[in-house]
Amino acid sequence: MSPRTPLLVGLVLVVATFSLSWFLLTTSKDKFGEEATYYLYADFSDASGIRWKTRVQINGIDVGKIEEIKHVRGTTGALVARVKLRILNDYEVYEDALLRKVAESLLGDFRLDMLPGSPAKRKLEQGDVIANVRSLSDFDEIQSQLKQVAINVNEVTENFKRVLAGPEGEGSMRAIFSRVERSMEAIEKATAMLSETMTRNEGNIDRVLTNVGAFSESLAKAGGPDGDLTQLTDNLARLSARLTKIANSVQDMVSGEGGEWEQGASLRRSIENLNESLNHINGIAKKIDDGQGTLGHIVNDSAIADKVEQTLDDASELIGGLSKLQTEVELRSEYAVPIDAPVPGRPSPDDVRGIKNTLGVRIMPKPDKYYIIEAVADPRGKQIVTKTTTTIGTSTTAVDKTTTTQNELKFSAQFAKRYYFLTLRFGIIENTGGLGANVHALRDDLELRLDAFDFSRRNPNNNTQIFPRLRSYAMYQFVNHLYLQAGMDDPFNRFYRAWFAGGVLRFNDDDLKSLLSVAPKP
Amino acid sequence: MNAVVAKLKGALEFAGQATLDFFTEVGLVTQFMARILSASVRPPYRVKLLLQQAEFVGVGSVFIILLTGFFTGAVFTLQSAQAFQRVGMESMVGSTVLLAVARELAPVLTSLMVTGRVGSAMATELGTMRVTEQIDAMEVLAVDPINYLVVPRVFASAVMVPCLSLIFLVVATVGSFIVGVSVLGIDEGAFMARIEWFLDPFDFTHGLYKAIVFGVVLSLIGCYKGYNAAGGARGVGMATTQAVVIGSISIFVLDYVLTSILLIGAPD
Repeated sequence: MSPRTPLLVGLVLVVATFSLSWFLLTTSKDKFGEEATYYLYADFSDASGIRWKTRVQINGIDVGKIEEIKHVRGTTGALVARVKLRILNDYEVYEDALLRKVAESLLGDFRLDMLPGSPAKRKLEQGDVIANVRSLSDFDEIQSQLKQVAINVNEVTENFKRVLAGPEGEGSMRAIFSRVERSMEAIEKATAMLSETMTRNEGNIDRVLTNVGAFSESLAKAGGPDGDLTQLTDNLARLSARLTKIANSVQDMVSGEGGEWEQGASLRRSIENLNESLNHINGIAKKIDDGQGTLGHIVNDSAIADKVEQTLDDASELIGGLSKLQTEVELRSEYAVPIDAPVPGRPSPDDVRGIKNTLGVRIMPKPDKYYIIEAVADPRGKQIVTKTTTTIGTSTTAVDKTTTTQNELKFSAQFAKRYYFLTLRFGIIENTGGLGANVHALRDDLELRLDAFDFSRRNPNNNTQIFPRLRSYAMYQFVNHLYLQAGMDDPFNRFYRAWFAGGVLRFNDDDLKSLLSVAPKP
Repeated sequence: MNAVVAKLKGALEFAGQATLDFFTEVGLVTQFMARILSASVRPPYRVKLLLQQAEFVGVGSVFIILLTGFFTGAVFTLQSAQAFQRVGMESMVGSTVLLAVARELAPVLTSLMVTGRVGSAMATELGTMRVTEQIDAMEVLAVDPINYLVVPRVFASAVMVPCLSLIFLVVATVGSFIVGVSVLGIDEGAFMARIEWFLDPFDFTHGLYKAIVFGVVLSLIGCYKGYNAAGGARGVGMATTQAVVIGSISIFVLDYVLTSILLIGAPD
C-alpha cells in the first residue's frame, strides 16, 4: 500500500461528506417551519394549479407556503378544497384579508397572492379560515371577460341580422332610404323658398342696410373734436402728464440733483460704488476666464478638474473601505499531550507536550472575506539535529546526534473566504505554506477546522520525507467571546501526533472599544 | 410431423434449461452473498486491503466522474433551458436539472462508469487468479479467499460509489450553474432560490441510497463472475464481459425497483 493511499481515500471521503452536508444544509433551510409560522385555512372551489409548497406572497414577497390540501365539506355542505397555509409570524392577517390565485407561467402553475386586510378588523389566529377567497385566477377572469365580450358582440350581430335579414329587414331599409329621399327634397324646397323671399323683400333689405349706415355715422361723430370719445382722450392725456411729473420727482430723488434730496444723493453714490465693484469683479472674472492666475488655471484646465475629481473619488473609496473594515483579536491557548509512548532511538513524543499560545488578528474588509495574521509560540519549536563525529587517526570512532529544539516564535498569514457554511483559507501557516477549511454549524457557535501545512516536511533524524502536518479540531462557543477547543495534531506522523485542548478568547471592534474605554489610563 | 414435434421439444427443453440455469445462478449468487456476509464479520479485518481497493475504486475514478458530471449538468441545462424558455420559466432550469441529477443521473451514471472501469477489472483480476489456481492455493494455505479478495472490494465499492455520486452531483451543479447563469443569462438569484425552494434533503438521500446499493451490486457481480470463471483466458474474457453487461442491466432494473420503493416515502 502506498503511503499516499489513506490520504487520497480520506480526501475523497471528506469531499463527499462536505458535499452531502452542503446540499442537505442548503435544502433543509425551511424558513416556514412550525416555530416561525402559524397556520390558517382557506377554502377553494377550484384548487387546480396549486399544490404542496406553493408560495403565498404579499406585495410579491414570499410570506408563506401551502402545507396541505384536502377535501372537506364547506359551510354550504358542498365539497371544497381546504388549503392549509403556513404564514410567517411576522405577518398579521385580518378578517377582511383576500386570497387569490395568480398564474406564474403559461404552464398552469399558480401562486397565492394575499391582501392581509386592515388592522381595524379582527386579527386571524392560528386555525382560522380566510373567508375572502378568489378561486378564479387572473387568467380565468380574462377568459370569462373575453367570453362576455364575445356574447355581447354576438347579440349585436344577431340584432343586425334580425333587423336587416328577410323581407321585414328589406322593408325597413326601403323605408329608411325613402325617408332620406324625402328629407333631401325638403331641403331643396327650403332653399328655393329662401331665394324667392329675398327677391320679394328687396326693399326691406335695403332699409336695413341704410340703418346700419346711419349707426356707423353716429359712431364717427362721437369720435370727432367735440365728441365724447375726444373728451375721454383728453382726460387720459392729463393723467399721463401727472404720472410723468411724479416719475421726474422720483428720478431727482435717485440722482440727488434736487438739492433738498440728500438721501437721493446717498443712493446715487451707493449705486456708483456698486457699479465700480461690478467693474472690478468683471475684470477678475475676465482674467479667470482667460486662464490667468491660479484660479484661472484651476477653472480652465480640465486636467486639474479631473485630478481633483479622481482624488475625491479615491478619498471617498478609502474612507468607505476603512469605515467598513472590521478587526477581531484572538487569543488562543492550548495544551498538547502526545499520543505515542516513547521508544528508544526514535523522536521523543514528549517534545510535543506543552502549552501553545497564539495571538492573532483578523482584518475583515467584508463579512465573508478576511485576513489572518498570527504569532504562534509552539512547544514543538524548530528541531535541529547536530551530528558530531569523533575521529582518531584515520578511523571514525563515534558519531553523536544531538537534537535541539528552538522555541522560536512562528508566524501565520492567511487569506480566508467564506462560502455559506464553509470557509476556505490559504497562505502561510506557522512559517510554511498551507491551507485550511472551517465548517460552521449551530449558527456559527460550532466550528470544525482542518489545517494542512508544512508539505515538504522531513524527519530531522534521517532527512526522509514525512507526512505534512495536519491539524483537525473543533471549537465551540459556550459564552460570548469564549470558545473551547479540542482536536488532534499531526495524526499521520508517529511520535509527533498529539491530542490537544484549550480555550480561545475572541474580541471584535466593538468589544475592544468597550474594553479600552474602561481600561485604566497611565 | 415428427420434425415439428422435435423442434417443439427442443424449444421446451431450451426454455426449461434456461429457467433452471437462472434459478441456479440466483441460488449461487445468494450463497456467494452469504459467504461474503459471513466473512465480513469474522476476523481478520483487512483494513489495508480495504484502503487499497477504496483507492482503486474511488480515487481512481474521480477524474472520469468529474468529466462526466460536468458535461451531464451542462448539456441537461442547455436542453431544459430551451424547453422552459418556451413557457417563460427559465428560472426552473436549475431545480429541474439538480432534481434529476440528485435522484437519478448521479447514482446511475456514476455506477455505470464504475462498472465499466472497476467491475470489469474485478472480474478480470479474480478470473485470472481462479484459472491460474491462485485462489485454490490460498485455500490450501488456509486463507479464506472471500475474506481476502472479495470482502474488501465489496465494502470499498459500497463506500466509494456514494462518495463518487456526491462528487458527480457537485460537479453537475457547477456545470449547470455555469451554463445556466453565465452562458444563457438566467438570473442567478432565481436559479439558486428555485433550487432551495424545490429540493429537499430527501432528494439527496434518495440518490445516496441508490448509490450504496449500486456499489454493492456492481462489485458483487464483478467478483462473482471473476471468482467463478473457468476455461482459461477465454473464460476470463467471458466473465469480464458478463460482469459489465449484467452489472449495467442490474443497475437499470434496480434503479426502477428502488425508485418505486423510495417514492412511497417521498414527501410529495
